[in-house]
Amino acid sequence: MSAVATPPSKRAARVVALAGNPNSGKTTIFNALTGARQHVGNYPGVTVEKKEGTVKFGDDVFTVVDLPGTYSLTAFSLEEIVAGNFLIDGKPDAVVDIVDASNPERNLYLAVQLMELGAPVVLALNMSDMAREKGLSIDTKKLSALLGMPVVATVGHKGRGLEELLKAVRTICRDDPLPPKPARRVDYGREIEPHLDQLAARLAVRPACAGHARWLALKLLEGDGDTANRIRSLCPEDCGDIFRETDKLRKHLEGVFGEEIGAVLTDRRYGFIAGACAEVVSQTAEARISQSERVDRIVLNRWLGLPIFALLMFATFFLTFTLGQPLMDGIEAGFGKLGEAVAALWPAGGESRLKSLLVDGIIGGVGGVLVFLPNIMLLFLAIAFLEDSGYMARAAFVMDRLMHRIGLHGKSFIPLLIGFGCTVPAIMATRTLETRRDRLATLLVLPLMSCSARLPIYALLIPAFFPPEWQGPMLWIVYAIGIALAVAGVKLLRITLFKGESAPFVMELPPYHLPTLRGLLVHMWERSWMFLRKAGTVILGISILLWAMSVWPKPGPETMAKFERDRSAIEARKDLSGEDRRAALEKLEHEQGEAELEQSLIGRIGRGVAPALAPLGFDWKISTSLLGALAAKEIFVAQMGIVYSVGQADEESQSLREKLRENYSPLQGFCVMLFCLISMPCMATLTVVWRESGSWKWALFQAGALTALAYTLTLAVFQAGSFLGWGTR
Amino acid sequence: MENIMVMAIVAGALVFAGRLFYRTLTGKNNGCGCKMKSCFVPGACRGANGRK
Repeated sequence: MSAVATPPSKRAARVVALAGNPNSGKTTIFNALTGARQHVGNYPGVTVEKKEGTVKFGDDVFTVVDLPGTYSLTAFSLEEIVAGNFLIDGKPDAVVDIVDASNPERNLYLAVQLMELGAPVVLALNMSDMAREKGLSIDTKKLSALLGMPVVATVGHKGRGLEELLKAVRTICRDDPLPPKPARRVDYGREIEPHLDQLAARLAVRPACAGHARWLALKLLEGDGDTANRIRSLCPEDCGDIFRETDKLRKHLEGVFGEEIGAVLTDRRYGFIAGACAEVVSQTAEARISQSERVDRIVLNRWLGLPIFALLMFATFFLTFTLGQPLMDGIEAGFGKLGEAVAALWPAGGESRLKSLLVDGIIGGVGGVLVFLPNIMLLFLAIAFLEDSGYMARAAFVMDRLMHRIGLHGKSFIPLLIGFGCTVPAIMATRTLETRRDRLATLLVLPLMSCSARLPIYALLIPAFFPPEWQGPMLWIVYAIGIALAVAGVKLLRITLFKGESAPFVMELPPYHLPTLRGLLVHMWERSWMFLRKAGTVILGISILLWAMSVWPKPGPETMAKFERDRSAIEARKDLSGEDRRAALEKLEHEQGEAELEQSLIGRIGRGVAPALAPLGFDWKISTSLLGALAAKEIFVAQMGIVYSVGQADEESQSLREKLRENYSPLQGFCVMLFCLISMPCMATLTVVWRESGSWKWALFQAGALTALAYTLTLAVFQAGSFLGWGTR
Repeated sequence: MENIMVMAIVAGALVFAGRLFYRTLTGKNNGCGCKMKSCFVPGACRGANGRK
């Protein structure tokens, strides 16, 4: 390595920019590389304009440009403007980002911005000796994999690591560079990402902006005036639509977050950095600990992390039932009264198909599902609180360690978390996984994460069979079984069908903050609205069809004539008092209703399937409802509502839960939940698995494997429970 | 008259269910309100190629 200081005008072929925070040792490295004698000061801002020198390394000659210190690519001072302009407009062949290794969290902010800009960056962890003295140890290999850029440890004033640094620079400057690593990017969250993509797509159609569309979109959202001017100068055509769109998005996002969007984006970047540092930095010395770090010491603790996560989820489910119960009872009573009021429009005892359709089919079916709206709203309110406060990212981090241990990509936990809401977007979210084996392993077990469509089933069955103090724990147990089976399933897949190493991944750890009420309500409403929309469309339509299938075809004329004869016989009996006669007629009507239901299409299908499901403790009514649930899981509840109300519209309103309690045992109730949790997912999920995996084979494999697992486990639980007498009343 | 109304409602539901089934199989319905305000996790289904 030989070096010559040259005036700025004479440039060698390769231009290498030295960037970094003020006082990170850029000038020291510049001097060590070029042999120059630029003034070095142990305080920020020594370099206020760029300096150039050359360095010869083997056959390569590099022009090294020492830039003023900058904390970010958003220009706040003259030094930052000088540095930023050179990095963006100067298009250097390589950028060496000098990072003070003793303070990586603050210094990596610029590195993340350079990564977002798509610049060819080499990260120099300078002052690595001081970092070691402070008790910090940084895993450079892992950091390099996480950021997608070479990382070299250096000690500028002793000249250590400079050769490795130049080697890395030479690699990055090659004319035929190695195939680029997958681009790393900060995930700004589900509220921002779609808008960011939308804005980037608008910019990408303009040739001058196409290369940095996402970065420009980010800067516009941040409100960076320089970027706006840059776009105006780059795009000769009218860019008014972009700026109008930006203003609209900024207003919308600021409304959602209740603070400036620039601050939110900064938080997300620091979250990404905190996640990366948690992965690669091990600290042995006491340092200044921020409030978030103090909390993280407890919630991310190796031993306490998982129990805290389990406890918080338990509290969430407990509140869902405790607070939701009175509201649920109110809505249930409301639908009961509505059914009675609609039935009263027809003369008592009169047979009317329309009355039956409205009362049994629509109110019994859709109403039966809508009753659980309070539980769903409360559950999503609690989840929104955990997400917005920053805890959910910690839960993901805690689970990420477990994921790594079972051989799943850490990033897989995000789709698995989304799976608690709806499996379909969760499967689509697996697109962010880099390898096909990670994707397939994740999407095959995703339906085991209990989606919100199953919540009405649990909300129906748990209070029907379990005392209040057991309702929260039961829901927790059902969710925990799903997670445990998913973990076991992945492990099995990774040692059989999908062997191989997982790629590294940064889990963002945003700072904790108190969520805004508006943000919580917006999130809760978005998800509840989906439930309401589904109840008003899919569940309504299918409830009407299920009702039709449960009233047609009618029993033969002989059966009907027999019931008529029995009715006449009861009415003609003189030995019965008025009360006894009414009771006998009600019993006969009930028997007729049962006979009609058994003769109906649903009854026939149910009885056809029932023998196969009888060892699991399911009768034909449960069996047929499970078939209906293939369209959408909530249909199970709607169909149970229909089969237990057809022919009983005139009877005194009795809740579905009371009817279930009369007809089934707690063990049967638990087995139904277990089967619904594990068995094949809804049609929409299977179709998405088919589309995303590119083959029906995987969708059929998933459906078959999950149903077989559900059957086997439910059979084992029911038979063992019956043998031991657990929950058999 | 009542029977005609019932038949019409059931026929409407049948057409709706048929359409839903067709849209599900052709990938136009994904069950979660995709691309709509009620989309469960906006942005979650963005892919590397940007398709929904």
